[in-house]
Amino acid sequence: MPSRFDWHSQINSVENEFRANRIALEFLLPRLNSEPKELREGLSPRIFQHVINNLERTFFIRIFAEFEGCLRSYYSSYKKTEPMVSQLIDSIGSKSKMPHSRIAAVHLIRESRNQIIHIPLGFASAVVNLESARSGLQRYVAFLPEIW
Amino acid sequence: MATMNEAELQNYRISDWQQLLTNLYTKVQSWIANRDCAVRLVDKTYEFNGSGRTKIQAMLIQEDAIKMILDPIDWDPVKKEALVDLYIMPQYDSGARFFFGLNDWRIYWVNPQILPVSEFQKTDEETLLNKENFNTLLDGLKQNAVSL
Repeated sequence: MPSRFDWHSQINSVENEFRANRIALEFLLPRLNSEPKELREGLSPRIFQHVINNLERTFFIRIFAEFEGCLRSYYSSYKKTEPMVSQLIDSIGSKSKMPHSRIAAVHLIRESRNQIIHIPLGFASAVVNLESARSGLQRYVAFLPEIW
Repeated sequence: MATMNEAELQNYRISDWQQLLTNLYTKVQSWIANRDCAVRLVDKTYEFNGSGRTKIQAMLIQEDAIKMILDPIDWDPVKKEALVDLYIMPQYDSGARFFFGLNDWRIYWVNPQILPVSEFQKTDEETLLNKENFNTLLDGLKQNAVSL
């Protein structure tokens, strides 16, 4: 049976992977700039700078996917339908008797995720902060039963 | 001399990890016995170096309105080293990381928003995890967790 604490750990591990990636890239970039011949496959050091710049957005999508996986796992334990994620958030929030503020916070995170996916870089207005997203998603998950 | 097969070896290593955690939780419970804390153990899944999953236990601690979880992260059966994180719930902010090595638990990292490093008179060596230091951590958490 799935445990809520496993999902808490999985959501947090996405943020930890983001930190590990950022540290690794920041460590690597100066070396690539000084020794670009070490690069293979036609890559330039510049692409690594883009990776760093977009890293938080990339992991924002991943952390939301992990959260959505948690919701779908819980929802499938009592219903067989597959609603859109926005309906899923409302439905589980209502069933779990969550304060409206928790549900609204998660909808804001979902809208930011949507902007990252659908709006080209430079046009999206979403403020992407993985740490605060993790906090908002975890607070929502904390309302689910411990096992289902 | 009889040798263990892989399955026996894995069971032996998992039971080592579980025993190490049980010992830590027993110590922590004795360290906080004088506080008004509620404590209970919850199951979580641990993936064992890609070679299987097992249930291990995390420890929930609640004092007044502050909830925390001692969350087992990793275990190296060869070096006999382990990591356990202390998270603040429900948002799962990192509070501290504890490291087991050379037969002792040490405080490997503390979130500086909770406690200034000087609280532990930190030297180049990690600080031992003991009754005094754990209670100092909990006091810091109670004071500062809300602002995290």
